[in-house]
Amino acid sequence: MFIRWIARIIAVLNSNRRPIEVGAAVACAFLLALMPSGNLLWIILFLLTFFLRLNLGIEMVFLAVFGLLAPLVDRPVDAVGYWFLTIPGLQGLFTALYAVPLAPFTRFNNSMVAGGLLLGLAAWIPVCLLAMQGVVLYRRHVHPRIVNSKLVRAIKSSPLVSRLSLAVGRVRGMYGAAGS
Amino acid sequence: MAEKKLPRPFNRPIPESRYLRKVLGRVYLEPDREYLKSLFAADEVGMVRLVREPTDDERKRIRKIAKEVRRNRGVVQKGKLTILIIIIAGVAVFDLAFKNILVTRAGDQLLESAFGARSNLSGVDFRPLRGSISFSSLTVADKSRPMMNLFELGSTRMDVDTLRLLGGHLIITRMEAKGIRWGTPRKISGALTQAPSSRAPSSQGKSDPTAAGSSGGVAVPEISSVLAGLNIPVPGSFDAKKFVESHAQDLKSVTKITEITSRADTLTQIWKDRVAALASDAQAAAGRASELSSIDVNGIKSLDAAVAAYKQVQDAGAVISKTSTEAQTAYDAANADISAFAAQAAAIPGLVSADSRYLVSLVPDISTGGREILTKIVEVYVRAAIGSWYDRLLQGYGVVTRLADQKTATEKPRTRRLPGRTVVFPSAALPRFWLKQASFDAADTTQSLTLAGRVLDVTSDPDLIGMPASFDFQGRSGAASLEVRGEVDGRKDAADRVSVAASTSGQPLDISGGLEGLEISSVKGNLKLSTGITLMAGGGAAGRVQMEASSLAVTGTYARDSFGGILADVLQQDLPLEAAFDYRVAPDGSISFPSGTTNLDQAVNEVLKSRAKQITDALQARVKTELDGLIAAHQPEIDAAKAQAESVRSAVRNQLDTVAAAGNQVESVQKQLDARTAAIKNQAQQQLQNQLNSLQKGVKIPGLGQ
Repeated sequence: MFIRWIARIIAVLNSNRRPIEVGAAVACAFLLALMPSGNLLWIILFLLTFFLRLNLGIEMVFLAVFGLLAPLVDRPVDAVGYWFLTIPGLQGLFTALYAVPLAPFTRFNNSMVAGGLLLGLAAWIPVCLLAMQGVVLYRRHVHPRIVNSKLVRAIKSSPLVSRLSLAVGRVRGMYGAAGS
Repeated sequence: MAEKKLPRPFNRPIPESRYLRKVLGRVYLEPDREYLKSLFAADEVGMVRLVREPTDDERKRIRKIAKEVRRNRGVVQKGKLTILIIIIAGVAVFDLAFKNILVTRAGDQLLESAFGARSNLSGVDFRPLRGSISFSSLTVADKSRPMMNLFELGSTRMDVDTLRLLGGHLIITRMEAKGIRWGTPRKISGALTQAPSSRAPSSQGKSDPTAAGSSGGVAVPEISSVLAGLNIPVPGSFDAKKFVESHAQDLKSVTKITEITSRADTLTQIWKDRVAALASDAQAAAGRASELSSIDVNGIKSLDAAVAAYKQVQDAGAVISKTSTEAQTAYDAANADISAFAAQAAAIPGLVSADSRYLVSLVPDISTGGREILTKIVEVYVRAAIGSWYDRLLQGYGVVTRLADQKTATEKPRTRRLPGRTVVFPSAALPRFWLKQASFDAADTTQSLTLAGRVLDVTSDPDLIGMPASFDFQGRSGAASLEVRGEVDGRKDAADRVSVAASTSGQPLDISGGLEGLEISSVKGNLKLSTGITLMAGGGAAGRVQMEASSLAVTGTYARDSFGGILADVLQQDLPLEAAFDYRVAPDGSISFPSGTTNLDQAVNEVLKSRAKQITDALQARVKTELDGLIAAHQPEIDAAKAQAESVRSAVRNQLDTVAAAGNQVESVQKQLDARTAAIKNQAQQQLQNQLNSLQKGVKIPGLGQ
């Protein structure tokens, strides 16, 4: 299963898919990881990614990775969220928002939810652009070198890599061939 | 074999700008881009078309690239979105079609969670746009008595704030229920197979009186056991003779009588001998006196004869005097003995009285136990009433607590990450559940029964709404009425958890069991009862019960002099019987009565005292009669002893008289002798003078003249 996930990521990186799909997936994973789960807002955002053209595999993997790291930034997230929720000028807005049906289920009035959303949205574009740039650079410079290196050619002969290669082939079949 | 047609957009010439934007712009791998550039080129009119015929492999590759180009089109995956819309529409249709079933299940789950017993909703009609829920019937089982319903509702309608419902708040602005009933039987057990929530209050788990049933929460003693412990004497079965006999050895009068009669016998014997000796001496003295009568005092001519007679009289006088002295002494001794005997006999009535008092004191005085008896009888019903109320209050408080527990359960902090801080916006903060107002009524024209009540502000978060839940209830059946008001305060800083005041009037009182021991089959009348109970934050409850019973009628086979008869008189008097008790219910459900007042102290106790005095007097009279009988059995012995003593006195007196007569006789003789002696002496003296005178005339003595 894990090999298949890895294969899917490699296939996406090596396929003709738009770099923004990867960038958006990483940015969404970052946003979701900053927010505590178990509220309607998180669920809506998560479901939303299913209907957007972004790579779910990359999103899942990065969600897991960012999820492990998220507790490290809990305090800043909490502080930002609390600051945001207590801005006097926004109290009327929040009060009205809280009265909106289903809004309480989003727990937007929780400092971790609000802070995670705020920081996640603020970081969304930079993270997305960084990830896109990374994909472009990978495809332009890294991937050709890797493919043509002697080491990779040697490794390709090992059974594990054979299986990986087979998986990549299957995934590529799904996503479409992308040259070598 | 015909060559397969190239896929769109490669199957026809397209403008170069569009080709660059829609095709080449969506190919991101350099090899593919270079490949397409080698295969497609713009002509002189700016249309991009094939520059050469592709091979079969190239056609395959072009098809793959075309597929990827299409996939890289747009931001939203329309196919998945369409599926989502279809699913949502399906759910909406399903919800509309099965909304009533869903509401029924949700309602049952909510009620089962709140009451801890099975709930059955039926005939549910949920109209979300109108914001109303109605149902035709609802039954909620009693957790402690699964085969009974805690309550049952008929046609009921609720106005729900639908928008708030979408916001996660079940706000019932108004609820109207008809046909409410309590304690109706069930055909199927209402016990839940599994507890609906593991978050039941711990206090409920420790000593949940509701779990023990209405009779299990508070121990209610049987009246028969109360009466059995009082050991009340019943005159009809009281054997006074046996009672006196069993205490005879302790009676001083009986002992004294025995002692007196014995002493009388001894005295009689002693004085019998002494009187005989005295009689002999008296006879001797009388004989000596009689001998003196033979003396012819006038016949005494000489002095010697007079001296001799005088000496005889002196001797007789000495004997008689001695005898007289002995008789007087015996008489005085007899008098002393008889006086002592009389004094002892005179003490007997006093001893009899003392013994009578002693025996009477052994007869139980039921007048002092009367209040205790009635208090205990009342206490049985008070305990039953309080126990029932206490159970219901705990059930009500349990509902509120479970609702509040559900609120707190949803706010459990996550462990791995910071829970964050929830900013509460006051104007928008609402509890998850809030029943603002519920009214219910029931009317049964066949029994002229009307019931009505209101429940206000039942909520899952009393602290948020800042007020306790309150309720009031009025019921009327004929002349009987019931009114209940109270508050259930689930707020954290609440001093009292539940406070309830209830009062009834015109309530029929019908006690038809438990008084068989008193031969009373039923007590019927009117009861007016008011009570207040407060469940304290620390557990347990305290309150006061005031009762007034009037127009009581007692039926039974009790005898008038039995305690049942007394109780009947007490209950049937004109004065209403009132009682007020302060009570405390400990956390374990046990009830104590720290204080209580009642006009039973006056009205009942007076009747009891009067009747008790009659009985006690009768018992005492019977005891006294028995004692008098016992004394009367000894009376002839006492009278005989008295007669004997009197005869002794009389005999001694006779002897004393005899001796006195003899003494008088001697004295008389002595007086005659004295007179005769004096006469003789005068006569001799005269004669001697005469002779001396005659001698003087015949003989001249020289020197004397003549």
